[in-house]
Parts: sequence; structure tokens; C-alpha cells
Amino acid sequence: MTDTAFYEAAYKLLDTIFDFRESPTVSYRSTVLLEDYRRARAEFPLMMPAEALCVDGCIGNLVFPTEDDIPAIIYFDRGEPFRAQIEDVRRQRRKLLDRDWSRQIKDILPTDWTERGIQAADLFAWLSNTYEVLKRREDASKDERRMTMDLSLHAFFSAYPRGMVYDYDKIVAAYQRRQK
Amino acid sequence: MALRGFFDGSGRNEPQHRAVTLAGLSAPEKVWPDFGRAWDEALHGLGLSLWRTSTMRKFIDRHCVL
Repeated sequence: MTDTAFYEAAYKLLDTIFDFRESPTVSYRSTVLLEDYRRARAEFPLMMPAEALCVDGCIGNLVFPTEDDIPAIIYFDRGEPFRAQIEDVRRQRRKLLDRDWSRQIKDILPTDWTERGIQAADLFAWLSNTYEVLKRREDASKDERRMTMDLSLHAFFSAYPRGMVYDYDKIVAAYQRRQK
Repeated sequence: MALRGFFDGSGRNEPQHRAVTLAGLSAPEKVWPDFGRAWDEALHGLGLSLWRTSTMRKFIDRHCVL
């Protein structure tokens, strides 16, 4: 598979996701910029892990199309380090708040790569991460930047999008909200 | 019927990484069987049996001159 073939394959898969957009499907992305995160953690040593911020920004924005869709069952790849974080975040939030996303999740289950939803999530995760990194990398080639931006735009419209990028200010704000 | 959401990460909180991302896709439970069939059909058309982005990228980096 060439680089062009990779992007064409990704387009094809995003087209498949788009076919289900009105089902409705919702895509989620939550990215923590690590340079900003390290600066914030140096100032606030009790800062939550970067993965916990991602969980809050992503799972915390779950969209339930109708009342009948509550509760949610969440699946993670078996070996995924985020899975430990979601359990921690969920446990902490259940103690703090009565009306919270943590109470709308029935189960968090491990799954594997045979699951098509995980394959789709992996494509969104790679694309969002690459897009945010390339935007800030001065040595990125013009072609690399253009192909990733085109694909990101395509991904944006393939399902109803929910997204959050944690820069320094958002990281600190999330930390301060957690302290209240 | 429950909402079903699938989530996966990219990047790690390690010095060589610039960002860490969690992403996913959710839909009502009844949507997923049809989605699975359509996804398999798309993969089949591409000559693939499953999609794993990092594996695809590594293959390109090893075998293609860009």
C-alpha cells in the first residue's frame, strides 16, 4: 500500500461511516497537547493524567439521540491504556455529582480489533492526533499537511462531530473545575 | 436498547509524543450490525480483512519511498 493508497483507503472507510450519519452516528475526539500539559503539570503537581482529560472531554460529551438510548455501553480495545483512566474518572465523578455522564454509562467493556467500531475509532484517533501535531510542526511537508487536512475535513462530516483540544488554558480550567 | 460507543487512543504521554488523543464513534445499538456489514464490504473492496491505522502507516514507512 502506497501513501496515496492509504489516504484513498481511509477516504473509502470514512465514506462508509458517512452512510450511517443520519442513524445517527456521533464521532468524538479529545486531544491533549503535551507541551502545554507538561507546563501546566509543573505548575499544578496534582494535575490529573493527560489520558483522564481525554476521557472527560470525549466520554463526557456522549450524545444520546433519544431517551431510549440511555444508558450507554462503552467499548475499549483490550490493551488500551485509556481504559484504566475511564474507570478512575467514572468512579470519582460518581461520588461528586448526581447528574453526570458517569451515571449514564451502564458498562465499560473490553473488546478487540475484530470489532468494526474499534477500527473506526482507531481511524478517528490517528487522524485527529496527526492533524493536531502536523498543524504545530514546522517541518511538516506541504503534501503531508494538505492530505491530512483534507482527510480531517472528510472525517469531520462523516458523523456528527464532538471535539475538544486541550491547550494550556483549557487544561488549567479543567483542573480548576475538578478542584471545586 | 443502549447507545454503544467504541473508543481508541493515539499517542502516549511520553517525551517523544506531542499529543495524546482519545476518539470514538457512537450509535444506537440497532445500527451496529448494518455498520459492521458495510465496513466489511468496504474493507473487502480494498483487499483488507481489518483496519488498523498504525499497522498501515508502518507498512508504508517500511516499504514505500515517498
